[in-house]
Amino acid sequence: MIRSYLWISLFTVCSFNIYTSKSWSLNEILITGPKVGLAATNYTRNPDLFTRHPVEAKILESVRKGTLKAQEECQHQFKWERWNCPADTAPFDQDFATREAAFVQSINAAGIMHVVTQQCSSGQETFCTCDNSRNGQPGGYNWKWGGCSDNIKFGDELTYKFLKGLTSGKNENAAMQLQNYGAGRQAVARNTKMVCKCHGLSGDCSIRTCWQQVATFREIGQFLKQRYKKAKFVNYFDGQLRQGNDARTRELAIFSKKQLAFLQKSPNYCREDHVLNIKGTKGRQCIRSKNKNAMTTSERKSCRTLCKSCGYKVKKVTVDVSNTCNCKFRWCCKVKCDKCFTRENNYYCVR
Amino acid sequence: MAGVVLENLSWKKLIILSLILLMLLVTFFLIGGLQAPQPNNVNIIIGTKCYAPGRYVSREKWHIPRGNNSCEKLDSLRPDNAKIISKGITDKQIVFAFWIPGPRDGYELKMHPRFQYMMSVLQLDIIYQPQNPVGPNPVMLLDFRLGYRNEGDREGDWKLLAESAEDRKLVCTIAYNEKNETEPGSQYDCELLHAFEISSLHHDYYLLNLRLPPSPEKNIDIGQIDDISLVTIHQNGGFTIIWFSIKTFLFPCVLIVLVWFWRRIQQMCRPPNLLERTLFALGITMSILNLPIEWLTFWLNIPFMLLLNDIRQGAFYAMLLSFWIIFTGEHIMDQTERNRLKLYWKHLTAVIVGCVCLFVFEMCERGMQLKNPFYSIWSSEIGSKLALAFIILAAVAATAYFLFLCVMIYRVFRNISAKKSTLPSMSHMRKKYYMGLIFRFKFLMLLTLFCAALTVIFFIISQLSEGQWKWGDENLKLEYSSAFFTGVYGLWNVYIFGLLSLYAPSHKTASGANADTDSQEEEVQLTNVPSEMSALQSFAAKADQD
Repeated sequence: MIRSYLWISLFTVCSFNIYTSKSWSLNEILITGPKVGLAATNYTRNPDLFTRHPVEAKILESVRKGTLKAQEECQHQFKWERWNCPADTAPFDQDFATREAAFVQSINAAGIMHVVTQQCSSGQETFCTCDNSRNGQPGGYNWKWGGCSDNIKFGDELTYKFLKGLTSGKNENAAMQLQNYGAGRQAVARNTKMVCKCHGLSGDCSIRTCWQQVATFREIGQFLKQRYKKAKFVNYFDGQLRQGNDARTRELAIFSKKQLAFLQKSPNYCREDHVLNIKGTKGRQCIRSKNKNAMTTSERKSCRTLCKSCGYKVKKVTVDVSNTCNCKFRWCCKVKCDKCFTRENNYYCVR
Repeated sequence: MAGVVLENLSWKKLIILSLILLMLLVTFFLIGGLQAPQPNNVNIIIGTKCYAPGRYVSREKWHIPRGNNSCEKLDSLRPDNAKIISKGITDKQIVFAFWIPGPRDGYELKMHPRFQYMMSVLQLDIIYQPQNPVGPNPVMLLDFRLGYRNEGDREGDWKLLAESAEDRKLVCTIAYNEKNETEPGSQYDCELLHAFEISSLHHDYYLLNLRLPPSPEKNIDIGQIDDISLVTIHQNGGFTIIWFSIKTFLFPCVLIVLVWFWRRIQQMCRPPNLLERTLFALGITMSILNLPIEWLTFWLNIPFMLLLNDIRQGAFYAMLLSFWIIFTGEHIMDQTERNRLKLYWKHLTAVIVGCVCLFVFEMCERGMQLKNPFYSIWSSEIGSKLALAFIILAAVAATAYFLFLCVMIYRVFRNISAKKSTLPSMSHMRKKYYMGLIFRFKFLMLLTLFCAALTVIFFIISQLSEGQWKWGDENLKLEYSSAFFTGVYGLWNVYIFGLLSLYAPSHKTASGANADTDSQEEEVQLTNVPSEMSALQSFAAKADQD
């Protein structure tokens, strides 16, 4: 409960900037913006409130789902790292400006965009609009004439406007947030697969229609993890993020929108630190197995990164675990399994 | 009189005509590129997972994704889902419901007869789990029910349009990481499955209910299905209007020139020769293709229109290919007596075999779909082999055709160069006759190559533009795919228009400038040209032997 409260609590601080929007649904937020924040804090207490403002409710629901998805993926990606994306991470906290913060910001933007894009085609009541612009100019097509615009574009625009509304001020932290949000949105937009279908004369390829398929969120998470590893340490001057702090090399400091940026060096995640709210790696579990090939690189390195290089020892605890085995699956729902007992070795970091 | 308009036209007039036709051509491309939207619109709908309670679930009941009569929805189909465990839900009780089209902006979108047709494919999201992987060559049994409803109808009053249980082969691949291992939770990449194709959209809303019923051999080893999306493709309304308008404009244009052409031939005091008859037939097939009967679909429910269009298009292609063969054959200039259809039986057989193959294939696929929209020839083992056999046979026929055509063109060019060397020694009349023949042939050759090259170039451009999705490119001014369709359609119309007007028999005598007294004599001479030509040929052959 606390966890979801913290992830949602962002709305209490959100102040919506004035932005121009094309669709009524976004205008609706613009008008009732502060109310959205208010409503969101009451979310768990009075769900009926939302039926009165279905559009905002749906956007907020998507945002909530997006941040949860992001958190889940973040924890998956950082399972075997010293910083393991703890549940009480405040994703939109502006003082949080480390490399890890950069990842959290980007995956949140990606999560929201992913959920919004998907819910456009969910077949349920939706706030997605039919973009009636043509070549960027408004007043072009309607559904009967030219169909509907791309869902990915809509998701991108909505996420951009929503997150921009959350970013307050014009300082280095706001600049870093916008940079990482942009990188997150790009991760969704870039990781699409084009699927085509031929349907010409007798099914030949003289008529071919293609559409974009958004990647699974796991793939986007993996993509952002790579970006995290290559994240850039930046400085803020002249109202812009720049690599390096030498004014003379300013021209050289080209900074791509795709990259993650951070302002502070990460603290030591090995030791517990109450001020910085770091739990440390003591007591964390790591993985060892005889079958090295069956493990991923981060799994293989886990005991080294979590315990040994932090100055802890690895302790082996042998337990008997009941597992399911010989399962018979159908495509849905029911699983018929046997219960098996296996002896497993678990490893923990101890002093 | 043997000359055609082309030979007797002054350069000035020819250039003016060419420029007019070229401008017309550019107009067609621009109309498609600037006015029309994309030819087709894609609508992706993620299936709503409905729970049909009860032990014996009625197949007749409609499961509706939204609205007052919506079904009981499930968030997830995973075995660890709380609702699935608590209610003991089985795979029999799951229905995937798709309401086409999806809602936007808080409004229900509606389908429209303008959209002409709708075809759809299923896209499966199957998650890899080590205990439950996708087996080798699994077969899915898909129980489809397609219904429709119009705007005024009572909510929930869906009527059945078609239903069928179909087998589909599931082909999935999965990515491996650097350790040759697949991470649990990653998604399979599955081939799209054909869902349905309907060629008349006369209702506002369509509803597809899909079940995957349990069966001893099917729906087994298909992994854990997370979601099923329906991708529907329909023609855009704006494109339809522009397309029909172009046809409506072109139909009278070609028809007028066709009538003029035929009257010109009627004015001759001889029966029309083979080439003229072929050209006339080509004009007729073009006019049939141009005939804008599609407008009727706006008011009438004509499901066979798509099939009819394909047949009309196929007939035109067959005629065009036959025309090229006959035209080339008539210009070979050897000693053989031509002007008979019989001579071309080999070549025409290739065309006919190819077209019949494609026609049979078309009837098996689209013809069957009139009865059962879910039918796909590719889903059954025998069907796909049969379809492949037809396509291979058609390809063989096409290859044979092009070989024939190439050989013929080679012979024409060989004879042309032979003729050219003997030209100076010929009499004035014969020289003029041959030069006219050569010019006619070369002109058509160039024109055809120009049209074919333009078609190929625009086809490639449109395919590339369709295939390359430009992220954030707002400055895209031209709709290449639409421009391709309207432009190429206009191109071949202009081609036929040009042929009919330039290759019609000329009123002017072959040597208009000569004295009038000679004309009678010349006419006699020219009608005898074939025999004269063969005499000349044998003479040339003799000279070669010497």
